[in-house]
Amino acid sequence: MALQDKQVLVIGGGIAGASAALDLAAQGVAVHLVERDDFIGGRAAQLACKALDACQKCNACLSEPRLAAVLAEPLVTIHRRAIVQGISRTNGDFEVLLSLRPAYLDPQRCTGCGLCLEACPALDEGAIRRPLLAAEAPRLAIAPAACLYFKDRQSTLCRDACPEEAIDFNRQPSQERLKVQAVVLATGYAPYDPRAKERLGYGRVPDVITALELEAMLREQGGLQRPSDGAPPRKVAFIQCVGSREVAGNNYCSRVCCGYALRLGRALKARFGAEVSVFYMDLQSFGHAIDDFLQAAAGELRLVRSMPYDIYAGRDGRVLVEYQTQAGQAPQAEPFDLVVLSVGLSPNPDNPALAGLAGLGLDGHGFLRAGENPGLFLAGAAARPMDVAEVVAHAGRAAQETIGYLEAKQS
Amino acid sequence: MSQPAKVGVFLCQGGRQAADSLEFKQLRWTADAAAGGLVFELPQTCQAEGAAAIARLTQEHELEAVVVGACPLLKNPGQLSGALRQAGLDPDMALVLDLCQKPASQAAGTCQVAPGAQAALSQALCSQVFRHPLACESRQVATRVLVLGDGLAALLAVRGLAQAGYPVSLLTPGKRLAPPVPLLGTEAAEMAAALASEVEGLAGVDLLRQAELLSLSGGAGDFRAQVRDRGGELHELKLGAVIMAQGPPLAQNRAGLGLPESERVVSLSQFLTMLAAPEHLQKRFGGRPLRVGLLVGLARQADPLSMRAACLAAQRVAVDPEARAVLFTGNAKVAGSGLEALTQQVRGQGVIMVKFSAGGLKAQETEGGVEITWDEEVLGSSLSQEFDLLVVDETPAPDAAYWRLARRLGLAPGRDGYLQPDQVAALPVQSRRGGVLLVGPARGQGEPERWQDEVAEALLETRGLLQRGEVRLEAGRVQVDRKRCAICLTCVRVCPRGAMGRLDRRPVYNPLVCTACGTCAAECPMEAIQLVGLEDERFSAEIGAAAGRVGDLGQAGERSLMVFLCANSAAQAFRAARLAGSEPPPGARLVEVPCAGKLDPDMVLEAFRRGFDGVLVLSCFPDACHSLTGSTWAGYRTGHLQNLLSEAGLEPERLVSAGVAPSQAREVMRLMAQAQEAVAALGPSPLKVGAQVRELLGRYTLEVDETYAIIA
Repeated sequence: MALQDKQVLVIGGGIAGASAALDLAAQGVAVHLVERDDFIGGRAAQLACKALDACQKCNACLSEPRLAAVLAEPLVTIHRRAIVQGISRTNGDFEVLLSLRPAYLDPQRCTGCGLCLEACPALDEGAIRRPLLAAEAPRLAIAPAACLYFKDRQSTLCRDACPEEAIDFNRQPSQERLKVQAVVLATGYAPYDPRAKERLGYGRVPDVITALELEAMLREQGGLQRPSDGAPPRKVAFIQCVGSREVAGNNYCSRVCCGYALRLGRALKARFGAEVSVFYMDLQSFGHAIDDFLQAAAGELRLVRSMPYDIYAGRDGRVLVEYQTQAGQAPQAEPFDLVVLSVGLSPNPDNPALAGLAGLGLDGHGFLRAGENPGLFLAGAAARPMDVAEVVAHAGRAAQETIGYLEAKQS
Repeated sequence: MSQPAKVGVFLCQGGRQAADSLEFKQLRWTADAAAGGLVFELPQTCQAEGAAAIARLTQEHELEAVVVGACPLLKNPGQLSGALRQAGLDPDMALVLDLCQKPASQAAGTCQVAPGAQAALSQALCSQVFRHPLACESRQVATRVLVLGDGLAALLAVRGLAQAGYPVSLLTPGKRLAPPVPLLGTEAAEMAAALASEVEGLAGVDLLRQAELLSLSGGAGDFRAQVRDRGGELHELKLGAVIMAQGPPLAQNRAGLGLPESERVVSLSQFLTMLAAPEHLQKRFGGRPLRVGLLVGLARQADPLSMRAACLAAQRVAVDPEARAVLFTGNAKVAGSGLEALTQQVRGQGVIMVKFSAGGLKAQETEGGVEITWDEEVLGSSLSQEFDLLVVDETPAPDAAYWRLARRLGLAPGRDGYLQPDQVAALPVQSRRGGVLLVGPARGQGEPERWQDEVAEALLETRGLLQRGEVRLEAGRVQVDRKRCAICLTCVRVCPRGAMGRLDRRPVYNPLVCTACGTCAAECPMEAIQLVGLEDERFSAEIGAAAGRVGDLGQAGERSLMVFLCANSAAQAFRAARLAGSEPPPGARLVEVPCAGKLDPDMVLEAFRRGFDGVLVLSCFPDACHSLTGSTWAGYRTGHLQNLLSEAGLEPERLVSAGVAPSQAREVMRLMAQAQEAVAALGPSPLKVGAQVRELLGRYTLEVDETYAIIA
């Protein structure tokens, strides 16, 4: 029963990957956790607490302790800035080829003093990134996409400011080979890009944002401001089913949007006194005691059963939302200060490539399909849309099945 | 209690000779005075060499606890724990303090000692002195797992447990395994049937058909269950864990719909059973094309499971083009795999879907059937239609037997009829009783595809709890003073995880499920319970050290504020805020508690006695408490304390409490600033003079009269 000798590759350092890695490590299995970003946490780490006086059970805080625990877990080796380039099977083991982006900011040397932040002229563009998780180390990373050095090859203010000489722009990408006995794919979802629905105004009207952007705003700033002028919005509209339940395209329900929109709406009302309208088709069930929750939400929010078909800037700087509640009725254009699009959970665009790499199939929507290749397991929203608590359980299943597979292989 | 721990202090000298500053020397003196020579200055603790040096010195001097004074940006906390672990030491023995202030400008050099560093250091030393390494013991635990239920979830659990090598007792309410559950559909039924025959043949599985659980005493790893089998014989089982997979019975969901009492109104399950035997349906309705109205999610919100079953049933009816299937629903619940596509598909196949949100439905029996009248919202008019059969969805309705079973497990169904408490910390499969796990229909609304995840999660929990029968545990963390204990069993009642049990009438704790939240210690009316390392003495010493000299509090017009932070939420948010560069308000002193449940009223009163002008309690939000009920208890206590304060003539507003999530870094700072403002508006605490008197008494050992003379 020497699970202790086994190594498992977990692809994706979000809540699914972290949960699966922790569950595996708890059984003594060594885990290589591969994350393509500079920091772990993925999308779950961007979610904000939506509590009123009491918790609304949005489950966002489920991820925090698990992500912190995975950072502290000695059996989990985290490979940041890494993507899996190849997986091949030899004698029942998997040989994995990782390609790693260079760490221009040496994590062994950086003390996180922040002097580079003060020196950086492109900080607002995101040239130096900071993690959302307090437990994450190092505290800083350079983003080549925004960093001026990679444009002009001479801006080295941060490098010159660093007392630890941690910044080196000459580092090169590298490769690493791993040998593992099983692979867990926890590559998550992609939030639906509402630019595909031009009439909803996203990208054209500054005060039309996605719910994920609202979450990040609440989490990072703790305040509510509309993007156009920074003023606190008084009247807010949520538009449901953006990129979900389409007749052609994403013809599935993303499961989480009604839950997060109603909770965000209640939080905006309670914290900032905003008047909130939610435009919806059907309110889905989520969590315990849903009747009580929906009753409370209906008392605080204006729930409008209608899908707006046009959103555009009004003359007074407000956003006009055009909709119709009854057949034959004249359409009305109602002004709002902020419009939040409840974007759905789309399959990760990398799924076809990942599926090819790992020898897996895709389902009709483009999510990864499990059980097609022994030794390969799926965790979290890579498989289908789910909320944080469901991801934790699903990752538990991936770990449980991985352990079963490893034990069976042994005997 | 026991000897104070041998504490070593490591002070980081900082990058650019911060060690030459007076503030640093003061820090060193404070450490010297308290730690008796075990103070080490290191250049750059933040580097790997620093961590290695700490580990080496800790080993050399046989230190039992370590305080590291560094900066908030200590690069890699994992590095230090790694180094300690490598040296064979417990990484938890080190407390890393943030004593550095971010320089105001680049030119000022990189490291400076923060203003409150001295108080923070003495406070940390107080806490570390009470750190005692807990002895670890190996304990044999029972590995048998009791599974309750007969459906898919129960069978999945049994098979998983048996495969993982745990002996299983499966207790089923009826004679059959995998009895038909029409709502689940054919795929799940086939899977359950296959599992049933597999489980019957499995070694190590003890089937107790139609048996009744009479009692479940003890705790995780050491449960005793009394079971009566169908022959009336009693069995006693020694169990390590229990997996509850039996859901509440379902009842027709017709409250407030005004449906007539008629044979023409049937439940969705009944209708699905009828459809499975179409010849009966044909006989009953003379072979005429059937007109069926399905009411789903009208009286109460439906779940995707019912929606799927209703769609499939309607689809079966609509196969006959002469037949009519109308699905009336409030909210079409399509949040299940492939369910949106299914609803789109059945509508294309002739199923009519009618949605309305208000209660505009009337039903009455007619000669030829039942007539439904409803307000059509989209058209804005009233419509009616006659049906041969009305099908009503179902809702969990725990009956007396289910309540009894739940009670015997130490649980109770919630408002929605399921056993899982509506709390984030209980997710995914926890119940209120440690070692009793909830899966499938016992846990909540769900569909079979998620039950598999839940069962796997429960198996992992079981493995974590019982391993292979021998568990390594920290022994004796909760100590009950037998002389003080009045056996009132308050601790047993308040323990959020059922970790406090009774043995020979006396309370004993179960280290398997105890999370050391300290609620029992704080609630014990006899002060008989102490948590090792988290004793009352430790906190009162910490509060004392935080207060420092009373004269220090409230300097420069700042009002002093004692902040109690829950380690699971507020303390994490605070750490994140510090890393983001924000500073707590100058008069604030912080004490971390393992859970707000540990916040003893005495601690709050001690803070006032020591001369703090106000006290702020920052806990998890109610229902988001990591120990389920800790923040609720803290809420009760602060309410009670506010009454006490006002009775004592102190403004109750001096005690403030609020909820925080670990991600709310800005919020935690805002709450502190807000509380300090509120306290500042109230002026200095009237208890300050008393505290000053006591301090003078302590310092000069004067008689009370003389002290008053000096003050006067």
